[in-house]
Amino acid sequence: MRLQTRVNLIFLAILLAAIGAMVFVGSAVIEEIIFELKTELMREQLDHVEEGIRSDYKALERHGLLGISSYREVAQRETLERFAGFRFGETGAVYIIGSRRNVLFPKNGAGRTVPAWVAPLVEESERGEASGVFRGLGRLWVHARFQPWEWVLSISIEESEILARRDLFILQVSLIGIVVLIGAWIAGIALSRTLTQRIDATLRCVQEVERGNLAARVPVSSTSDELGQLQIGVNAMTGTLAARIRDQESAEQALRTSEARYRRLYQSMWEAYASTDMKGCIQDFNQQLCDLIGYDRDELLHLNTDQITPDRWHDLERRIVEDQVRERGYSDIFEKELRCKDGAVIPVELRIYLLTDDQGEGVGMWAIIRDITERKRDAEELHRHREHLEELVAQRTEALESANRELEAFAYSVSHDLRTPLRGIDGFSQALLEDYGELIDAQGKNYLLRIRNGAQFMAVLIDDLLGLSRVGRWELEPNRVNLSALATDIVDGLRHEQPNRLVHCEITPELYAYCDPTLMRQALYNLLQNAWKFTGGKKEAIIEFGEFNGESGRGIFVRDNGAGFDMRYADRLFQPFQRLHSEESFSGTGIGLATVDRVIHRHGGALWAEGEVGKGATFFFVLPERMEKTISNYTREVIVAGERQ
Amino acid sequence: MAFLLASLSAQGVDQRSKGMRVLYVDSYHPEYESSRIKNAAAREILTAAGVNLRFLYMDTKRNSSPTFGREAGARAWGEIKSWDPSLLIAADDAAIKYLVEPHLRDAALPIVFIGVNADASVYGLPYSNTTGQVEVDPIDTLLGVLARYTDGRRIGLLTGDTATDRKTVYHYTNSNGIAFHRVRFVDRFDEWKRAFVELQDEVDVLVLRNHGGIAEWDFVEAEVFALENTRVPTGSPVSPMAPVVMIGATKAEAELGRYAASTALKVLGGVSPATIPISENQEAEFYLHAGIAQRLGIVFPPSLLRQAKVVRGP
Repeated sequence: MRLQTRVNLIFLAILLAAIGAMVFVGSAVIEEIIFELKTELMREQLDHVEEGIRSDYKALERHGLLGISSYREVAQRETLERFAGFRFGETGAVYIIGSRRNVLFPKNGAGRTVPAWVAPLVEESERGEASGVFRGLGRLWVHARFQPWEWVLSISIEESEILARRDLFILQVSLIGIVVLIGAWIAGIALSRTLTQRIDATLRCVQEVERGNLAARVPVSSTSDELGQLQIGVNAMTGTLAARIRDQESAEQALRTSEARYRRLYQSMWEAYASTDMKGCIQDFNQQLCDLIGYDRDELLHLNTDQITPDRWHDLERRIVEDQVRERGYSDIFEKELRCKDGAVIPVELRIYLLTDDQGEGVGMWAIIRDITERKRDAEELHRHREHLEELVAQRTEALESANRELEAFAYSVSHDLRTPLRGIDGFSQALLEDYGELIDAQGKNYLLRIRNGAQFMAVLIDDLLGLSRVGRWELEPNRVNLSALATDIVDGLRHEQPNRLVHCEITPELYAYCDPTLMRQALYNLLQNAWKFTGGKKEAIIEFGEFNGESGRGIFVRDNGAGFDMRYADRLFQPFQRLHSEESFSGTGIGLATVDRVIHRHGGALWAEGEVGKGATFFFVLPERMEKTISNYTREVIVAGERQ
Repeated sequence: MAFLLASLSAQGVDQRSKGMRVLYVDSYHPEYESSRIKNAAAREILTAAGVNLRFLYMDTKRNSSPTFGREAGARAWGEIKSWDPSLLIAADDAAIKYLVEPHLRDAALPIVFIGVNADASVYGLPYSNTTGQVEVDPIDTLLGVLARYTDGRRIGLLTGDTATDRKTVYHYTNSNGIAFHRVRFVDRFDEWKRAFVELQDEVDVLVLRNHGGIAEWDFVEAEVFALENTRVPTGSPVSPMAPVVMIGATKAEAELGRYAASTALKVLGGVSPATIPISENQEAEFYLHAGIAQRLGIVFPPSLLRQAKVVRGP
């Protein structure tokens, strides 16, 4: 059966079913509603009738006239007359039945026997409603009983009048239904014809596509309905399919190109390349691998990695595969050896990568292998050169130290030997002044005094140089040294030398260091003597000796509030013979701080200074970590000892 | 709904009239039935509105001489001057005749009058400070009911020979357009009884208006006499005659009291009395004498019984 015919029949069946259901359900509902409304209306009317009768009865009762038959009769007559014009619908009828089952109302039925349908009401309940068939006509009635006069009041109406509304509804709906049916039939035929034509066109297009004609398209006549959207979708789908096929062909071509490119790449690269399955069986490789280990292509395809690797590397390589390649997909670069076809062993370095399938499961491995024979050889050569160089440096160092010792011995000897003629110059100049002073004029005396001063200064200079020289030659004997006690002793000596000076010294007690006590005394003396000297112009001179803990670690500082220095020249402070103040202002040789610097550096420590002109200077030094630990440990030992005491 | 509107209206007036003084001057005495009903109806409304209400009775029903009337009017005038009310309610003719007309015509004191029989113009009403209601007998209503019980059209009237009755009959004839077949004014009881019998031979319906001015009037004897001698439907427009006639259709005294009170509140609320037109009473009360009706073979229908009081007879 053609689709169009089928659609038409379905339309027809649906419309008939809808109209039938609408008529059936609608008539049933309307009938029920009409019956209920009509019954309610009749009940209200009956209540109204009963209320009128009761009102008349009450009037008689109120005036005590109930017992007078004439009043009762008049009242009843007036009551009945009042209903003379009563109408209820077209077939409605009011019946008032007397106590003797005689019809009291309507008047034209007065005296007659009651209708058959009324009779049961006389015997029945006080009030109610019922329906039944009387003389072939269905009737609906309600009734009530007015007990004082033993009247039964009833209102009835023919069911045909009630159902007339329902029948009218059915007629109207049927007529409308027929009109709608005809219209829908015509519209359905037109619609289905249009639809089937468009469906046929769509079907033809799909068949064309099925035959491989991806250029086929459905002519879209409308885009506003589902079929139009379907046709657009078919066209879009065909277009997408054609595009994807083109893309796939392009992708395959690109893949082939890429594969060739990469094959050329790994065939042409310097390093060897190989890929295996997860058991290590070689599956692919480049010519460099063949060249490296001497196997031809067919031989390699029947080997696995263990067969071309010396036994001592098997465990290492298996661990690398398990721990690195399987875990994270690649290994670190590692070194191993390969055994060539001729039995030779060559060192190589390589990195192994894991090949996975779509589920991430390992399906193989590949690696780039680099021959490191040359590099190994170079490394061994370098190692040999390094060992020779160290030997050469040791020899040169020994020669240099020997020359240095000789130079220092020479300098010491020269310095020591210079002291004797200097003492002679100074001594004889003094003797000349004392013994022949009267024969020498003032200018001559002045010359002699200047000779003496120069000789004495030179002596001091030689002493300082000797001291500096000793520092370089001194054999360190590190020991635990109480730096605070050393500083206190030095300051006491300075006070003794210049008892008239008022200097406030703050020395932090119990500062210890692991150092050579002789050299450290020399260094602390130079620092404290320096502070003492440069605070000479201060009325309230202050010198502090204490411990600091800074970025450079824990260390010792010596601070004064003396002449200070310009930080721009701080790098000159510790160079020999460098002076930042004039001889007239502050005497000195310029060797003291150079000596301190050498002592600290002999201990492996560091020395630096901070200062500001006119506000003082601070010298810091730190000793190596070992020294610092010694200071701390020793401090703790003292405290512990104190607690024990 | 009307009651609700009236209540709301009274509420609105209530705020303005609260505490204001109103003097109610009654022409008669407190025990007089008509006065008792009217005054009670007025008192209920005015008291609810918070009015300071005071009654003054002139007692001219029991003392009908003009001298007494003038003295009573003077007493009332003295009360007005001493108490200084905001409004005066004057009930029935004597109050107009002896108080309002001589002392308060066009005065500043606003006045609401009620119970002025038939024609207010005899007192020159209305004045600029008055409004009120003229009391008319519901004679049309009475004749309409009586017409149900006779086929004839001849109407007779028997009443005391007083100025009020004559003025009323004049009013019946000229204002209501009633053509009486026979009219008798009598001043003695035996004359009344003879006329009662004679008139029934000449008319189909007999109206017994009132007993005022009839010397030796005896209600008990009159009722017995009427019960034994009534041969045509009889009726009266005044309630005192209800025991003597088959049907009484009388004015509703309470209507007058309600009118007086509601109009007084309007005036106290600021409405000028001159802007309120003089009206007439509209309601009627029915009295049915079952004994006389039985003598005539008449049975009253429930439609009439529902709105009537039934007189059972001696």
